[in-house]
Amino acid sequence: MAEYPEYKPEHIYEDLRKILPEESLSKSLFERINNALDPYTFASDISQEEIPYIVVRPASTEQVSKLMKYAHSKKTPVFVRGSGTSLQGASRYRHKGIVLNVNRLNHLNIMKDYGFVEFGPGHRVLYVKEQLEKEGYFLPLVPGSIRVASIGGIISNNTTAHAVDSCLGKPRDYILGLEVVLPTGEVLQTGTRGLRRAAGTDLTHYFVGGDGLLGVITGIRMKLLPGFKNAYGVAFFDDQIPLARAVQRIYLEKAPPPLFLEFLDKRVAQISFEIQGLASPPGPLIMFHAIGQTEEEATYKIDQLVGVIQKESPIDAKRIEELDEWRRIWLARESALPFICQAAKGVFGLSEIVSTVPDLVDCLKEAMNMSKGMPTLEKLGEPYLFGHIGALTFHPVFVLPVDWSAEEKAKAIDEMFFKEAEINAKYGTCGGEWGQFARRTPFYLKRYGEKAFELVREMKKLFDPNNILNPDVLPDE
Amino acid sequence: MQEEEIEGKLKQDILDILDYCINCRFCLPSCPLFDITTGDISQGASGMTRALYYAVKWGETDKEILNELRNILYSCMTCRNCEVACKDLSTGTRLAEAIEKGRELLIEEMIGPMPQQKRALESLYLYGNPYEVPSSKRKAWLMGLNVPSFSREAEVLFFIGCTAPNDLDAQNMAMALVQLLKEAQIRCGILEDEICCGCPSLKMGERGLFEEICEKNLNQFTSLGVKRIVTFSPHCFDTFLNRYPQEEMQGIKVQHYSQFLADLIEQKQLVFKTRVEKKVTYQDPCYLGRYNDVYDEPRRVLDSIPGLELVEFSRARADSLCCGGGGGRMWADFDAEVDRLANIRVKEALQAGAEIMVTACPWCLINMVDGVKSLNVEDSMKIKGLPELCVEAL
Repeated sequence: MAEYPEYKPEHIYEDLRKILPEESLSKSLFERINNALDPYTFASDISQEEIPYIVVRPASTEQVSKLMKYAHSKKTPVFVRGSGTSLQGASRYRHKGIVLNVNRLNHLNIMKDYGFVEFGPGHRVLYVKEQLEKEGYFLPLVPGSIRVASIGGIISNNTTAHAVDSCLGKPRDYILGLEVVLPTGEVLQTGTRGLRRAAGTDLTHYFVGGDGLLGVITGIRMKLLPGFKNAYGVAFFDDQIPLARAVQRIYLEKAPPPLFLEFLDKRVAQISFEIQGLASPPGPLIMFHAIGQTEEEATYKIDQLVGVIQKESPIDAKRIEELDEWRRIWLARESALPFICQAAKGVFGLSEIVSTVPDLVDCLKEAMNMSKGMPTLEKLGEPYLFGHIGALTFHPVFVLPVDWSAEEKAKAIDEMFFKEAEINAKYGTCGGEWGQFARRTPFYLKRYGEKAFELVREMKKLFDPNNILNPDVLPDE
Repeated sequence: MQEEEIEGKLKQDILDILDYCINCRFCLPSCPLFDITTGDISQGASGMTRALYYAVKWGETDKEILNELRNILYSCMTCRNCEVACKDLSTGTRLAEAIEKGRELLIEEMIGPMPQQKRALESLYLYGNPYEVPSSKRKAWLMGLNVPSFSREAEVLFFIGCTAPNDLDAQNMAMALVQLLKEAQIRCGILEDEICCGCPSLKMGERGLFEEICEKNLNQFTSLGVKRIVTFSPHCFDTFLNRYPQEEMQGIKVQHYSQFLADLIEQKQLVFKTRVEKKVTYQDPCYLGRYNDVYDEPRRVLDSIPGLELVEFSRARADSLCCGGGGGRMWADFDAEVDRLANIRVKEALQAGAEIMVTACPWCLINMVDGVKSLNVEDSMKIKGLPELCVEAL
């Protein structure tokens, strides 16, 4: 872990109030604690010694710049935080320092004439989606945590989340430019105000998906996408193997890529369908959502998908005619994780296994057997399995009993990420949702080697010579 | 139990409940308080409960810090929106229950309640109501309703609660309800010496006082042979139904009046003949809806009024926005708030195209009437209690 000079919180507060408005500073103990927590607290709980010096909520790029210049001069760590929903520690506060909460960086301008929207990083994704939808546009960001996740985190992470990459691409494909404050306090403008993105070196791409290591994104310019028409389908299988083969066929037989193609194993499907008052499915299932410029186009795509899926002899595969039926099925998918946890009286440990097309069947089996050879995970048995199978992604879920000690839960999480790294490295893939570092650094080393990691570290030094921005997301070793 | 044992048990209960919370923050966008404060995480749902969790876990004793915790915990309106979000989207943590226990703990540690709330608790102790209304004055108002005292001949004990005798708008609502009961020829009675159900003390964390009140009420119910209670307030309804000892409430059916009216309408004991050609929206009270799943009955009552068009809020039923009055907040103000929930709700009612907002809770009524006044929209939006609208339709 990096080392930094220690300061008294009251001194930091007194210094900052000279350069920042009072309303942007919070020294409340409980606010400082809350800004230091993320969803994997049980794996590394906060101690009284670690509480941040202060929480700063700047309302402008200029204020962020002042803060970063100050922090750079004092060699004090700054942790940038949106909603703090990262599942692998990317937003985690992990070293005595300052928390920069971006939730007041919340401008939003839909520039229809220019064909782009500009917004601050502090918005919740759902809010931006709703604002764009009111104007007939589609936001190509679809995290499961859409209600709460902040849009700056999604951009920093470049996550596709639920979407099928071959349909929607990555957020990076839609970002035209950024406003960024460097860890040294200088402000950069990247990219373009035109709709034609820069060829060649464009610093935008260093920050989108940059794991928050290189700068603080304070403004985002994104292409406007016209809204789509939608169509939906579902297929039920006897077994998971033909289900995985059906997904392989979608790729191999050049079926139109769906926007979403989700998978629930039998246990998960039955729990979540029952909760939503749907007939209990006989086995595992996939549900899929296609988009088109017209309803006919979207429907055509679903029919094509159903046709391909039927070649693997599902119990049933069909286009869903009633929107209400689709909503309930989708809600069953969305509520799967909470209801698994609630039924098993525990908290979840979630990993992300990604396959190649040819390895999908084998990868599915490995995901199912993920606990084998892992002493703590074995106590929990086979994981619950669901995921974005259209994006070749599985989410094995372990429910950790709430009365397990913090140490035991931490062991389970460590084993889970170890196994995730092992399987993804075996298939030459990587996670497409939760960033590359923080807990996943061992995987990065294994997958890409020492040299690649060293280059990333060198780049971090170049942007952040005092290593103050989100330090320890990229560990020393 | 000794004081230390009580505190120890409360602390353990709090940690046990909050061990389920994983800081996913899915509850925050649902928390109405978070919406009207300045964006501090500790001013919303799991931000509040994490504050409580660490204060308990670390055995916090610093009075200044505990006062900060008090200000956080007592600002919660206990609307349970967070619990609905957590159940639907995460681990099903009982956040509002933890907050209630946190308040109990602060009372044990002589930190709670909020300074303004102390008078309400003292009044509960002295007068049996939180509004400092002397028993004689309350009794006089109750007698003015011209409802007989409860006797064994009565079918129903009409439990009016503390708010109506203290507020003119709530009084009109209560009198309208009495008129409806008479119209339906219900043999109901009231308690001349009615005291509070105990809800405010429970919500402010004063459990000892709640238990005293509970015992007094139970003694009355038993001695009078009460078999059926119809409450005026959703808060009394929830308290009798869910917080009084189940074994001692056995044999007593508890209903909110909206349920009772829906039954009367279904049985044709109450028929509305006059058309009310208005667009009406319905404010779901938290303690009827989210606490007890009573969503349909008030709507059935409204549907039975000829000419009335029910227009729903964009967030209704389990997603409904609290008026801001629950959880003891009728007796406290909080500096951190930059808007009022009732004002937001009145604006939403206007957006829904409603001319009248109807509610079935006296606290919602009071807050919404204030909201209409503070927004200066009295010409375009009327606030009415459900019984008042029903009386117009007789």
